[in-house]
Amino acid sequence: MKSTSRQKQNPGGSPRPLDRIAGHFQKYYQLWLLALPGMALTLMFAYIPMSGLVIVFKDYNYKDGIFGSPWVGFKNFEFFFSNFSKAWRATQNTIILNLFYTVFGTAVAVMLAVMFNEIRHKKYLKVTQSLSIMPYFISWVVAGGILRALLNYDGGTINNVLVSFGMERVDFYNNPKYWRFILTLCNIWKGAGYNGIIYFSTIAGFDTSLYESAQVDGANLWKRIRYITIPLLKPTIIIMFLLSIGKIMSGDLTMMMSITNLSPMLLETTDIIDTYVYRSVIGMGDFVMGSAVGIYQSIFGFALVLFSNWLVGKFDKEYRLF
Amino acid sequence: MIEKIHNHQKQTKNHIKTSASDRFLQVFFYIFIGLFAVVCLYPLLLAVGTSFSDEVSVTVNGYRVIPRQFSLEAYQTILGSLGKNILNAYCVTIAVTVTGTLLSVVVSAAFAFVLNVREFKPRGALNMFLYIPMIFSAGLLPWYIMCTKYYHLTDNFLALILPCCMNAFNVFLLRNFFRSIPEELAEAAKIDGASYLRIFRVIYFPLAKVGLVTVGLFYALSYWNDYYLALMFINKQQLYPLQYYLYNMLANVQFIANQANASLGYNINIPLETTKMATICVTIGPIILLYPFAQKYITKGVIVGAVKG
Repeated sequence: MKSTSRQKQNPGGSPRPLDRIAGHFQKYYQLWLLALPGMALTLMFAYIPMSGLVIVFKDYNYKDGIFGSPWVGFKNFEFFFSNFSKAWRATQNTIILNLFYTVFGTAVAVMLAVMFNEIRHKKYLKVTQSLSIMPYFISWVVAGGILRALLNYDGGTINNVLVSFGMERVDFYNNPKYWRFILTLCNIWKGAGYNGIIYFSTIAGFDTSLYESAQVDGANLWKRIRYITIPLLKPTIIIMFLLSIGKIMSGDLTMMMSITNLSPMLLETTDIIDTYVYRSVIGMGDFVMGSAVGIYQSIFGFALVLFSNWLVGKFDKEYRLF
Repeated sequence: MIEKIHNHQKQTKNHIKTSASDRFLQVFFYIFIGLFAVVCLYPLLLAVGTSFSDEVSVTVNGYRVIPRQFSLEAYQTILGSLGKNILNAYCVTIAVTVTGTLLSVVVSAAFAFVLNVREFKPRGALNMFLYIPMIFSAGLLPWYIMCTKYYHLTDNFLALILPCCMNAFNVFLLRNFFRSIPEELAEAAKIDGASYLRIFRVIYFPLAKVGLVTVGLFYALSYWNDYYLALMFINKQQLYPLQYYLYNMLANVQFIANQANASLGYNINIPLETTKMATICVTIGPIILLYPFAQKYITKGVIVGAVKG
């Protein structure tokens, strides 16, 4: 009934789907052309590798590639679970470090944002802001190199300071127990200024009349921060926090490699899943363990993204990822 | 009466007290922010200071922002015995950064433009297509095997560009910039018979200059700073970009000595620490020099990107 009336309305137009597609491309072929390079690159480097996840069910050899190698079913998983202790250590390290980065990183970023908001001197604000985001644009290689100058056993700045206060030198590069702390500080150094600006731009969008009326009512600066800024910022913080749960299984290989150089002395606290996969596959050519751990990271990562998205949805539907 | 005066006194006292505490807090904020900025800057100054130091004074007195014994030895090493290799790495990095940035900006802008054409129905699907990889990824191993085994990127110049040529975050950033261009312009052009290609080229590309520069800077920085791709795909030293060269230098004491000895044919002593720091300075030099110009765009990019990440 409906379709006949439509046909009546445009008797010349053909409703056949093939023609409609042809018509679409005739009208929009230029747009498809423009999108094509980006689509091809995304396909090549994001989607097609996803199909490579089948490697976990294969006895991989380089000659036959991912798709030509023979199927082995769940054999790789058996091997994976029988060698689970190292992978478990890597998983724990990844999660602990990510938690540290998120909690302390967010705390410093929010503090900076609140303080940026109270700086009245325009020039001071500009200079400190641009200095604070500068480390974000310095590579981890450079950061790692300079960190060595700070932490070196002899001659390192921190050890020199310790000695001048009459304390013992600390051998940072042979002592895994300091590294969660050091890595967190590095992460804050590199990212807190950048994230601080993001939070600062959120604060700048708040209704100023709230602050004015609070000031008229005699609320001092601390109270205005405590009872206006922080509560208004809370949803953003919670959402950022929840979203970071989805990324808790992923680590930064480049950061870890440039800072610790994958030193065997430090692996106890610094071996994350990404470095583990890198070490086993590219270092030792052990595709079985590497692929199993990699897949386990992808699957858990996927589940965590869904979970964090669900949590965000509970909190505020607006901010859901999908 | 007495009570009233008392009350008044209390009020004024209170008033002074709060403003004093406000002032105290504010001063604290100024100091804290200043300290944070110094903490951000200090490591870089340390690298610069050490690079201009005499090697012996570094080993004896440690690393310093202001060199105790000024020396250009490290830079002489960089220009001399390591000169050829560092220059080569520099050229690779510049080539990668320039081609990569141009390619990335054009590809991303084209894609972002398509995402912004309202009457184009599939744009929602394209949005999703770009968005999903931001959340899910296959992980290192399948990606690595695909690139080496099927795309043959090992020791290929393109390996340093293509894998990070299309950054979804930057595309969405550009789309946000495009959105701020009034749609009437495109509408008018369309009525005049302009094709989409022409609208993109003549209206959007020139009008979104700020956005393009911002995104271009983000891309340029990521190409300049990248060593991940070199680590994965590059074995030939002629293709080492600067960061990867520096990485090898820092990670492997022998690397630097071999480099110098190979080029000179005999053993020499290299001022290790100062040379490392000088290479660091050479690596970050262009970023620091361009920073005052770039930071305006970067701050804007950070904020625009944050509005809808």
